[in-house]
Amino acid sequence: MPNVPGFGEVLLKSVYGWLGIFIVTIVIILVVMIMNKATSNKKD
Amino acid sequence: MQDLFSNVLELQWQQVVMWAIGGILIYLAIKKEMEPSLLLPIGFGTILVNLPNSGAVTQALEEGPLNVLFDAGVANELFPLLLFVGIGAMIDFKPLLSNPKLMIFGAAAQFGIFFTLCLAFAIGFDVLDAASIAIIGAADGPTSIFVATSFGSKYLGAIIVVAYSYMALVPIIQPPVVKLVTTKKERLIRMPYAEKSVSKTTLILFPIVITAIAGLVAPKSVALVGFLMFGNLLRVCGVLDSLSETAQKVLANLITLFLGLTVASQMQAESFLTLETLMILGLGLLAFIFDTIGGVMVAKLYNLFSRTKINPMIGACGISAFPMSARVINKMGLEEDNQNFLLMHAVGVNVSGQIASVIAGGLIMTLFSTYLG
Repeated sequence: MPNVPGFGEVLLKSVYGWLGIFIVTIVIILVVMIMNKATSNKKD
Repeated sequence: MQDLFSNVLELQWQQVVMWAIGGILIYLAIKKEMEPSLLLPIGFGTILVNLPNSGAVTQALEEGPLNVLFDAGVANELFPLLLFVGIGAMIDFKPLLSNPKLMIFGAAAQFGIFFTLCLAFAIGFDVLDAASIAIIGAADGPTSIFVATSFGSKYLGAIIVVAYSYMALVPIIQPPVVKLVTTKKERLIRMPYAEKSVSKTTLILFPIVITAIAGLVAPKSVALVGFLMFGNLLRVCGVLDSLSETAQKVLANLITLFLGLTVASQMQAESFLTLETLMILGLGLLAFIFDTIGGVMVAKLYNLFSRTKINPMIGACGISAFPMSARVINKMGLEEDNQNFLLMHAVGVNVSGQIASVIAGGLIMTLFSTYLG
């Protein structure tokens, strides 16, 4: 790990950031799958 | 007589270099058709602001129109948000909504942003500048402008030029990277496409749901995600066709016009011709490369656990350069096997990249705003 002050905190936040996108994405996928299932038999 | 030419004598060689850079941007816009809607006004604006004592920019007490426009629409992040309304109105989420699992690759392909952020910080950039540079990897102009302006980055001009240039260079950047991290056998994986219908209710609920979910997790993303999804809601609601068309055409074109010229006010020689600009060029390229690698590697990981294999090349479409990346990957697929049509899957992933890149911008702002003075 580079000997730059504060690098550990920046690295940790970056990891949280990338993981955060995955978490939000998985929630969105689940919600969309539920919406698709719930509306698939309805006629628009 | 001397008064006529006194201004000419104030010309500096750095300004002449910037004229050349402006000329190159104009050439790339017109001759090579690389993002002409942005590169042409930026190129011309670069020439405008690098004339000695130019009246286009603020000089001592005299306000220049480009700075007025900058303060009115860029410094307060308004122009990129308004542009997002137009972009949202242009996006068709049906290919994504018919196969929502593809969204995971949009998330994966934001890896380059966070990798570049750490690298930029490690090599000496201030953390907020590092985050502003890293967001080039979002491959999304308005998000890059929004984040860089929010963080008060002094490299705004370089960041925007680099971001739009690399977005236009996706057909050159991505193919060798994709070939490096995939095998021939993987590139030959076929993905038949069966169109699944998506209900109008889902199409209408989707932008509302996305905004709520993203906003709850990253409140600073509400403006970015919200304006994008508002534009999309105009498109899909079915009762505001004229507003949707206005957003897609008039609003988007008007804001793009102002944005290009206004951003050029940051292209003055003393702030652009620095070693840091060269470093930003390199870091921006790395962001795009690692975005591509991130998307492909997660696709390969997916194949380890899934019975139905996907062609890992579509992971590379998770960057927000729409529709360029989808076309590039479709073309690569056809080159390997002329019966393997990846386009609809690639478009689905590419569209998910647009959502993921905006969420990435919001998360970066949420996580790193603590560093603001």
